[in-house]
Amino acid sequence: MTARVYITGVGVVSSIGLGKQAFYEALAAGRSGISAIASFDASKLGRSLGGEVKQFRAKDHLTAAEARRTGRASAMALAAARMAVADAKIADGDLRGPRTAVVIGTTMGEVDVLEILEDGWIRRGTNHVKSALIPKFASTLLPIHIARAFGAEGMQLTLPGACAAGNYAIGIAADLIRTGKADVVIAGATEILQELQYAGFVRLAAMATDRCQPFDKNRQGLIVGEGAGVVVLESEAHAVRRNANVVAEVGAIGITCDAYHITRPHPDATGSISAMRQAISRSGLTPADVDFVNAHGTGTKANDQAEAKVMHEVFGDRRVPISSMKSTIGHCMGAASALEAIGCVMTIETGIYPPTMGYETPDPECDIAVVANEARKGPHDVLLNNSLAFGGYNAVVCFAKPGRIDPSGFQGDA
Amino acid sequence: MKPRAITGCSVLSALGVGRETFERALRDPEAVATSAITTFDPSPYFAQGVPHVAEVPDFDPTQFLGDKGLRTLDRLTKLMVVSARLALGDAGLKKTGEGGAWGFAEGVDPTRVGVVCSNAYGSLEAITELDRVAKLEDARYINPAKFPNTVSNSASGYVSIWEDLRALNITVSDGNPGGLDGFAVADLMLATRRADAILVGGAEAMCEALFLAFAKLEAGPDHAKLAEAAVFLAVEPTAAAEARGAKVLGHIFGFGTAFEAPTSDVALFHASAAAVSRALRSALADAGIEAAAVGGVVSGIAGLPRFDEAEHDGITDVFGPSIAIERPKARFGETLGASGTLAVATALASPTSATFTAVVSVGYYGNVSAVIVRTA
Amino acid sequence: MSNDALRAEIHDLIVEIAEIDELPADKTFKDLGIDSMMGVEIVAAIERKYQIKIEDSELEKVSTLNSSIAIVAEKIAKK
Repeated sequence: MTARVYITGVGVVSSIGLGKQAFYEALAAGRSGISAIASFDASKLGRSLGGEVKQFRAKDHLTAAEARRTGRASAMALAAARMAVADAKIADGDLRGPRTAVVIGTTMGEVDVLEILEDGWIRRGTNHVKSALIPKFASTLLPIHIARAFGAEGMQLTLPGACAAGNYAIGIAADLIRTGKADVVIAGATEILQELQYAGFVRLAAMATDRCQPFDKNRQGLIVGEGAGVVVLESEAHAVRRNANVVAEVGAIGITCDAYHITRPHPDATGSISAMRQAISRSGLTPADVDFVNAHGTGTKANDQAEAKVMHEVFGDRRVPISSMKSTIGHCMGAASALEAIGCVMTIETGIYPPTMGYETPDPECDIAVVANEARKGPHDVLLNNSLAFGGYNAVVCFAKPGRIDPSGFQGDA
Repeated sequence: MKPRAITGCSVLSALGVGRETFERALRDPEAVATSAITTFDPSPYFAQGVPHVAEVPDFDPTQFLGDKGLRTLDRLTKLMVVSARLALGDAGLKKTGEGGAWGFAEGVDPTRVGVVCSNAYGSLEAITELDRVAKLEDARYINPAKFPNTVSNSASGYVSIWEDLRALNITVSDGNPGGLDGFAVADLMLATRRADAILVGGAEAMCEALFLAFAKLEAGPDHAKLAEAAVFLAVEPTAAAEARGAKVLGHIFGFGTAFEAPTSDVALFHASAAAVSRALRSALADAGIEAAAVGGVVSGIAGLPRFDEAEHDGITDVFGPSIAIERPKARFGETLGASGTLAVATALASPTSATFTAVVSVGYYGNVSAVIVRTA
Repeated sequence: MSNDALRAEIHDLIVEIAEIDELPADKTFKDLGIDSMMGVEIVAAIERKYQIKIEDSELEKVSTLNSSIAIVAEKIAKK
């Protein structure tokens, strides 16, 4: 088994900025990406806000042909991939061939394309379906557009892991490298803000009206956002050979299913606890090694309570700092844990913990060490990225300073 | 990959429900998919001919699952949960115990049984249903209990809920090759000891939107019927299967994948013989066997001339012109995200005189995957 | 609409969603095993059927058959 998996580049399309630099600065400043939604009218749902990415235009990042071929989700993913590859400074041609894989997570994929198709059909009838768009909406295209751009011919995976999809993609991508199936993987996740999904969360009584306040006693729920986060993962050998700038190491993914309820986390959080323990032990570490947890932190009652329980169970009396980026960029669904993974990379690179904004009143049921309202610096060798999702999906990925993972922890090669 | 034992199989297809029904259908060349359309009203389309689709005939989930708790599940979920239950029973991982209670067999730990399932268009039914309400009435009136069905991993999540499978649960949405990619993902999970057994599946359910999408693409008169299927195979490390004395239906022996982009910058669809050939060769290399050890190929040939030709050329490039090529889609229909898994089940149920059968699955975008199956 | 007709309609709607045979008028949904998902489904179904809007802050009023009928009757009267 290949020992180590490194992150050598990151790319971001987010409501608080395009590209790593803008994203890092806004995140550390706690600048909000939540704004009045322009792409649809949310008022009849009694809402107005979303983490909409307003400054993204596909043609700024994609060729004209690419922009024509892609829906918004793919376009954002491809733009983020291009930024990540540029950040990794990989030479043209180095990604060509069967040793480069692409793994992309999402919940609904190219749903804007599907929306146009459905709108024509539902409102006007079968003769008004824009047939030329049909080939564009398949989720399988998310990695394919990226593979085409870089000449990658290896494994392509689209992983609909709901709100854990980013962790699924990055964690499984790391396993592809570790088990020798690929040398480089372009991995991440993408999601667009869309009316049906927005309405769904409102109707589940999970959506806040004015702000998302994770872990606060008076939290009212989540605010839906959108974006794409993509990283370049390389095997140790590949990174060393090309003398790459290694920014972080990926440890193990812990992955379990609650098998309890389709939307609610298990109140005992047993699956979540087990996923976090797996991510730690399979990275050859112990809970005492963990410096910081980038929370799932949706700001709903049930999620935050379950997550607090996980922190207590896994870390005991040690109050490990934890923070939720969803207070600034909203809940970006499938892309959430990919963007949060990039938040983890930022913390590893800079030592800065992103703040949980809007944290005012501590909740005795979430008695954890929230990084409240202001970024701060702290130890940043070993981080966990936590996620929970529809379907009872739990996924936790460990990120660390290069060299900090103990590869003997991987229980590979059964 | 290391050889992985297949210890259970369940097929719900247009030719019926259950492994034995499936095996009988494979032996009976007269058996063809001719079920009535129940998932949507086909009459508006009769002017263009009867919709060319096939459902799982007389599918009644209550027979298997009881009549409670099914109300808000979409058809994909019900097909998958029933199929998963049958596969777990076939594998002996679960059984009906004393008093008629369905539960795990002795020694099987629910936290060590996982699910990996492919579907290509799994959420279409739910998205359409909710979209109709949102567009024609008001987005406020959508049924929140059906909202989770709009994400395509929810069906797989329900499998875990119904069957209490608490190891990993992963959904793959890779189009037609997804049913084979699932074996690669499951192999990763077994190799890293994240589960002792994994239900690897593929499923696709009929709905009007799916039919309409393919009808609009005008695939042509020879195209296989668009059809449903929900297939699960129980996959275990060979040592684990041996240790619990499980029956072994065969082995997954190798996996390969390839991609070739279209040369035209504006094209999306792409049929590539070179990608078919490369995927098959990489599966052979992964299995550590020569092409000569393969007695036949289960193909995805579906009556799309350009794609069929590329697939045929890729197969014969690797195995020579006289290799036997099975075409299960001619009988079971085009089952999309389920088709790869269905093809593996076909390979297991129809062994050749040689030890190995190759299975290939061709996507519409230049993406191809292949597996090598050792038949028992 | 008569009170009896409204009662019968809402009764049937809840019984169908909750998949229960009996629905005592003052027993809480929670005690009847109706989970939060069914709860929000009941609210959405009621809103759709009667074209009314139940605010998030009023959700807890939809907790028994009788309380549900009361809020629907009140909203219909205000329409």
